[in-house]
Amino acid sequence: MTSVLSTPPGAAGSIAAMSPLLQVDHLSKAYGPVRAVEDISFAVRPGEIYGLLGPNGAGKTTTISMICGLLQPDGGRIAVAGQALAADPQAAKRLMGVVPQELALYEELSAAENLEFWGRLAGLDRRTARARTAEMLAALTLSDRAKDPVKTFSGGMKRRVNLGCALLHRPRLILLDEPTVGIDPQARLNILEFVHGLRADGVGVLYTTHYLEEAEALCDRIGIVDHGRMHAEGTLRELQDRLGDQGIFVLEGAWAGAQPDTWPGLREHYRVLSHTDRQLVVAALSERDPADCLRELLALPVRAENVTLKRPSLNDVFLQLTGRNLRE
Amino acid sequence: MFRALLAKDFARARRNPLPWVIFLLAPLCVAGIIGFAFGGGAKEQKISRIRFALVDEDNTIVSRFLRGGLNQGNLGGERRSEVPLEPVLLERGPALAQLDDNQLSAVVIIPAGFSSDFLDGKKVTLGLIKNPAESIKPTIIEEGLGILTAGLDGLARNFAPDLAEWRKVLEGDADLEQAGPLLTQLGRKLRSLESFLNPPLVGYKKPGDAATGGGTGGRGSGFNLFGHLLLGMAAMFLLFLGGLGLGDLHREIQLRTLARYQTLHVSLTPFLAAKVVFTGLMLVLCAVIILGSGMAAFGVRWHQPLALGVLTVAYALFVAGLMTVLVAWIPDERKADPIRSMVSIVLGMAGGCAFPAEMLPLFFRTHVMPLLPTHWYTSTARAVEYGGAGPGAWAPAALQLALLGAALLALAAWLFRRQFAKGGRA
Repeated sequence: MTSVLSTPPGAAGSIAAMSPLLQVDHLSKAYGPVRAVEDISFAVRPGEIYGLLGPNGAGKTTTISMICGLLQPDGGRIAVAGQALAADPQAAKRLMGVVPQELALYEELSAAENLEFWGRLAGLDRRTARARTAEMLAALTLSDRAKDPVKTFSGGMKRRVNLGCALLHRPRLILLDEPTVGIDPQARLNILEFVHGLRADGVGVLYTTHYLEEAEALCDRIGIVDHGRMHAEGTLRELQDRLGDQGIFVLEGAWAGAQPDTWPGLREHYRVLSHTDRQLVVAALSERDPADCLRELLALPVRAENVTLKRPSLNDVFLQLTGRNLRE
Repeated sequence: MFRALLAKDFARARRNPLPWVIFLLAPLCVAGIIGFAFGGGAKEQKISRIRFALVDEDNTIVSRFLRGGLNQGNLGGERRSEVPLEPVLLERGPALAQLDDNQLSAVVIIPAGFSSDFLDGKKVTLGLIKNPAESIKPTIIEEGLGILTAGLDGLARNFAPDLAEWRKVLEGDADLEQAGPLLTQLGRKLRSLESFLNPPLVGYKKPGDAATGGGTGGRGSGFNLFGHLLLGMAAMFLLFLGGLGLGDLHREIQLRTLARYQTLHVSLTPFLAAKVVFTGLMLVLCAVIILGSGMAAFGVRWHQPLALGVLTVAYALFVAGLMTVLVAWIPDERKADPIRSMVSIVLGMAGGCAFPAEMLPLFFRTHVMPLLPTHWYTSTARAVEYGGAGPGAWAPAALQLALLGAALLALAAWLFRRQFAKGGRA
């Protein structure tokens, strides 16, 4: 797929040096006693894909809903292109394209009709909307199904139309709320490629997901959220480095019933990331020679059949930050 | 943008026409059933033949004279009344049996001794047994019998001395020679009464009777029961159809398209306005189908189409406003559906759509019905069609309906905004 957004790439200078398209400061929202979002802050700059990574119920959709004006925040501030959202929501919304997590399409209408309709509502005249619809259908590789009703589409095709409807007016800031939920790997890859192309066009993208691989592959920076709170943010490398830059050790063996907490020396030098009856994952607390670590781990009172040294994944980081596995 | 929104709703209705087709066909079917029930293609509604039995238990020349008058085929026929009577002479037993079998609308009994008592100037009574399974036809016979007895009463009071003479003549095997002087005497009396009877000083004139120089300029008409009911049915169906049209807002909520719309930089008003206009157009189409089918298939004449059209458009606006408020108030479709149906039925029934308002209790008629917009519509439309009401009657009612519709739409928009601000649909 190719990008259809004609905004010139914001390649001049580093992304970090640019003023943010979206600035979120200390955002909070509660539903009765449940604090859905609590003091979340982050920024999305032009040409950047910022990922909000967290499990279901972490507060990702609530955050996006507040940014696009569907929900009123209880506290905090949202600014779009330097202007407070609360001061002029309509002006802010003009700059945004929102792709909701659930499909928001008219199933009786064709793909082209849906795209053109949402394009016109976003402010395009009929001629422009029609022309861009054709471009968008080509970019989404749906030209051959342009006139078919959306209800006859597969889940992946519907997702693509859902995505395209938010982009026809060429927004500068795109909010994507789990755009690949419930579709097959090939369709997911198509959408990821498309979103990746958006970055090249200089738009800012806020991308929420609970798929580690998507965040790792797509996002320039990632914010890890759970239970409504932002636990960490940074580039993938920065997040991985939180576990030490020499990697993590995965020990495999048979130690059913053993308590790693009681093993002498383990807690003093290592952080236990997880342990099961067959596997123990640890990271060194300080910078150590991996060979020394290996010797220490093999000297533990239980016999490890296999020890692997690997670079920490985003899941390991999530596990370390939240105490639970994102895949669970 | 408004055009895009409207075009979208029409396109969706075109792609999925079944609900609309059903709702548009339903009134046609009901109109058809009502039409056939009330006599099919009559130009103006006429009561079908009224069959009743005459039981002459007196069997004298007077009773034979009386029943002969009743038994001349179509009583009145083209002379006095358009009511087609079909009397049959029967014995009491078979007459009652046919009455039980719903073959007769009533049984009129001339009791034994009727002639003798009448000619003696005594109080006499004709018997009437009405068919309880019918309402209108037995009442017509009862009214006719009332007129007959009033005439006989007048005869008895004014010609009492002559009646005694007549009795002698009649009991003497009707000697016509004896009857001659009596007839001469009767003629003289009638001539002397002529100046008191003719021309009548008090009369009546049917409204809109052009032939007799009716003063309403041809507006309004004689009562037409089918048309009367059809107006009520139209009011009811428009409520249900409005529910279908504006209920689409529920589907927009479920489809998340309304939420998506809210992420755009445009206000909610065009979205609601387009939905209301779309539904309003469908309502007007439905009204045209219902009222037009009555006209085309069953010969109902709408005497003031402009007034009826304005009233119907205003009523459609009210229906759209009401249904939008219900969606805004109850966003959950499963809860809203039964409430919407209930509101439609209650408003329709209580507003006099399904049966004449006169059948309802006085308190209800005087204190509740005047508050109901369904009553504003049906009563005004009926007054326009069958009472010859002019713009002074229908224009305020139309304005009232339109203003209420606009107020309800404003309320709905406010309710929607409040719901969205609370995050109810996000």
